[in-house]
Amino acid sequence: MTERLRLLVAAIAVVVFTLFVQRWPGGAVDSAPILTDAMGNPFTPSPSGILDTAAGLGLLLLGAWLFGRLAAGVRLPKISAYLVFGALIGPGALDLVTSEQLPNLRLIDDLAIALIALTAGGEIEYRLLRQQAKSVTLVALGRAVVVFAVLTPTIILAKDFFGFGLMETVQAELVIGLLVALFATATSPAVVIATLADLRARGPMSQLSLSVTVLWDLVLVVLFAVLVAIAGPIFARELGHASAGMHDEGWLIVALAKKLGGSFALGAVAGLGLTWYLRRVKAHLPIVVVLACFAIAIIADALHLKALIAALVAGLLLRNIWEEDSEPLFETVEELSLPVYCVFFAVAGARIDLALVEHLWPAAPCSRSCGPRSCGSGPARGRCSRVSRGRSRCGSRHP
Amino acid sequence: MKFFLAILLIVTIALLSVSARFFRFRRSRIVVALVSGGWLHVLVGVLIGPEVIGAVEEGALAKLTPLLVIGLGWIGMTIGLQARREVLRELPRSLFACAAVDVASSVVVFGLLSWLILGMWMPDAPVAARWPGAVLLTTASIGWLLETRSLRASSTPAAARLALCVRGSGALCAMAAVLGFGLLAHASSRGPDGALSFHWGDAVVMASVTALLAVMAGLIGRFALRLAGGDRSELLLVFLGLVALVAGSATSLGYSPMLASALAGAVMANLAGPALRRFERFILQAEYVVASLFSILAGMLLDVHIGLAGVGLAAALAGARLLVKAPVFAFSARRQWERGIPGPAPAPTLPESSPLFLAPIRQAPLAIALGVALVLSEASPMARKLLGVVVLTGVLTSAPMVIAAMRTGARTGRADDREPEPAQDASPGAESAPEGGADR
Amino acid sequence: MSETAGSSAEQAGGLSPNGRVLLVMIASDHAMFDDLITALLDIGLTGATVIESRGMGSILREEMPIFAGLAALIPEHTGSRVLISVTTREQAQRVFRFLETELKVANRPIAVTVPVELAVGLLR
Repeated sequence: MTERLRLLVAAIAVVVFTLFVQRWPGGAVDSAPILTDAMGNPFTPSPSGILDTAAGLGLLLLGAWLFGRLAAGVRLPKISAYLVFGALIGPGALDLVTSEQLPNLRLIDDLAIALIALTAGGEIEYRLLRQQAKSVTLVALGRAVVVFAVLTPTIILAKDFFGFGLMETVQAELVIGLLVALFATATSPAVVIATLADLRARGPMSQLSLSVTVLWDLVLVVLFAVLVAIAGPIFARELGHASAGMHDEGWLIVALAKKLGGSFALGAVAGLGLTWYLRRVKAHLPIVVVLACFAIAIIADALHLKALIAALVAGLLLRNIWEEDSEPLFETVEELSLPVYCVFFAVAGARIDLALVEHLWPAAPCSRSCGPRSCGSGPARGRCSRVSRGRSRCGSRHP
Repeated sequence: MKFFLAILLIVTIALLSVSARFFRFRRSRIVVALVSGGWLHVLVGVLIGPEVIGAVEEGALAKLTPLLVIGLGWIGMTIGLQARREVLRELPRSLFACAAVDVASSVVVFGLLSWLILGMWMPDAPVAARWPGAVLLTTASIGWLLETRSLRASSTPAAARLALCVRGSGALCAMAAVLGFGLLAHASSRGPDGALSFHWGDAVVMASVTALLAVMAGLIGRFALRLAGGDRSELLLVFLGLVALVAGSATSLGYSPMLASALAGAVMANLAGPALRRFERFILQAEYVVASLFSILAGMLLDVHIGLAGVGLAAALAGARLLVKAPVFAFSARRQWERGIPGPAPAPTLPESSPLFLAPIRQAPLAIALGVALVLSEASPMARKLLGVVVLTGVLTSAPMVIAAMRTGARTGRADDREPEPAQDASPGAESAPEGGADR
Repeated sequence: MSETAGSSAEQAGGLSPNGRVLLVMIASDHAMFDDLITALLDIGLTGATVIESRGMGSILREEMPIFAGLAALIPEHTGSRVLISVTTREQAQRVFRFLETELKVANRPIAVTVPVELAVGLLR
């Protein structure tokens, strides 16, 4: 039996295993009646969603990994395979990972975002970034200009097709067009990092892709906040409501500065903490990395900061200031990446509403054809196309 | 937010407890006697749980269920992976004999005791309702704490052999406890009306399905391990995935996650090749961290309000361990050891007296895992009280051993592990038989 | 300044690439040891002594197992290997370069060199 066939059989076996378990009669009580124990105390049994989460996690991990290996065997990108696998076993298709289980897997999203951002920050070398500063800025700006220039008029002209025909004023149409174009320029650092790791790409082209993505993510936060602040009153007028949340520009700048500055500060503190641990203790790194990623996610959430930016800054500082100390940490991050990516992308795939996709699929090629291209010119184009092929929209927690 | 904080707190405490500094503390016999059973971590869990300080709320505990399932699966797989044919073949038969005697005596003594006292504690409960609790208390009494450092006064070969006997037969008892609990605890289950009753047919079906699940998982695991090769990230993924899949599937079906994982581990241990060795190392290196994490979770789950009846039950079980376990082990160890060694040379013997003979008095940490498994299968107040009883029994049995450890520490260097008189026709080198299962 | 038998460069106290060092490597991963030996042969290190050893961690854990009581009987879990070889400084540097570039941190054995003053019984 060839290796590919074995992989296919194994992947099918994992799915069949879970199908068998799900369809087996009996098991945990689905509804939540009140039961009585031997002492006569009433109690409610654990909901089946939470009891089944561990099995769902196991299926996502093993199944997505096997599917990814299978895809790699036929030269398809693993990330796409994880997404497709997640969509196949999700509530929209086989329902092996149910909608009750998905909220319990939110932990993985938080972990993945922080881990990916930490990795992204760790990949960016300041020395190379300085050399490429001009290229990075040109590519990011150029891309944005092209996307806005093409997509905004297209959305406005085809507003009926996209369901915005009810908008009466030009300002509202323009804001919608700008917002959609802004979303279209967004590139998930998760996908870029995962694709670079999958292809084991290293070099100026990878640095450029990553730097453009990271820079644009920071710019996106600012632009998005500005657009939402502008859009709020316009839509309120459009819908005839009193404009809620109309703030002046001064407040907006202060709020943005707090958000960004706070995220940077959190990242710096996280970087310092990790360096201290690496110098003084340096044991059980996998658990410490997971702990640190959770800590960044929790604290950012509590203080209304951006976990992605904080983890990015932590990674940047660790790589560029404390490089020698941080080598074992990044090795550990690399080890943890595979299971985290498998589950993250598979869960993202499981969350895709296939009915909605069926309805909205015509819009996807339109936005993607104007979408992110971080290509340089000439010889880099070949590697660029391999990077682009792996990209797709995913990640519900993208800023 | 509180849920995430709960995880952070638990993991931080677990990490501190396996740090180098803490390992240094464990070189002291008294400290190791105190902490080896996991009671310290359980106490921390009780303190930070909903019953005392409330740093971790009841709602957050429910969300930790998947973590508990994976923890039980991890423990089950750790135990199952030891059931490798070539290792078991090389063990002295005396270890198997000691384990068999302990299992039989525990089932008779503790089974009867648990049944009687549970009957007094829950007089109105039907037999089927008492059954899971009785099975838990009986299987929790099988085996003992495997730690021997606190009770080993001397480094003689005889003492080393006895320590090996304690650890080896204790490990075999742990396998029997997992098997027994997994097969028997689910013999009573809830019908459509929610009432507990015996379904022996279902129990047989359950055992068959669990075995089938385990074989399937073992085969998938073997293939996956071979595919992963030496890559640590892929090994981590395969391990987490397998444990979550097997334990999670068993839990979804209402079966025992520990039994399913243990059987899957046993299948893999006997089928997989060199890739398994790295896998095993990986699991064993995390043993302390996982045990610490798990004990803290157990402390948060248990109900401290067990009342006089619960305290009485725990005291009775601890007393029975004190009276029964040590003498039974000493008798069977000496008798079986003398019988079990083939060959012309005089058999290497055990010490005539040693504090190590008291080791079986202490309850095994596996008992906590079995208690948590019951709480997982039935999240009832009774199950949480029984977990509290199990933990209290462990604390009560550890207390006298701390005193024994103090006396052992005072005796160290005086060679009070009295060596037997040398046989007159002893051939050279008979007393220097190597350790580690070399009595074949 | 220690004196080493050999070249005048060494006698002058310089660090000659042909000076002898004792290379000591502690490899705890049995699975990668075979590959390590093959790599050493490729580098040109053909003579070494391998000693079966045990790590301090396994001794610390041996008397205090929690669930895995039989694991202490399984040598792959408790054992490590120490490889010692008297070689030239240059060759030792090649070995170190290999360990640093080809192996991940987690798979890397601990390796140290100790200067050799006097030696007898070496073939060359």
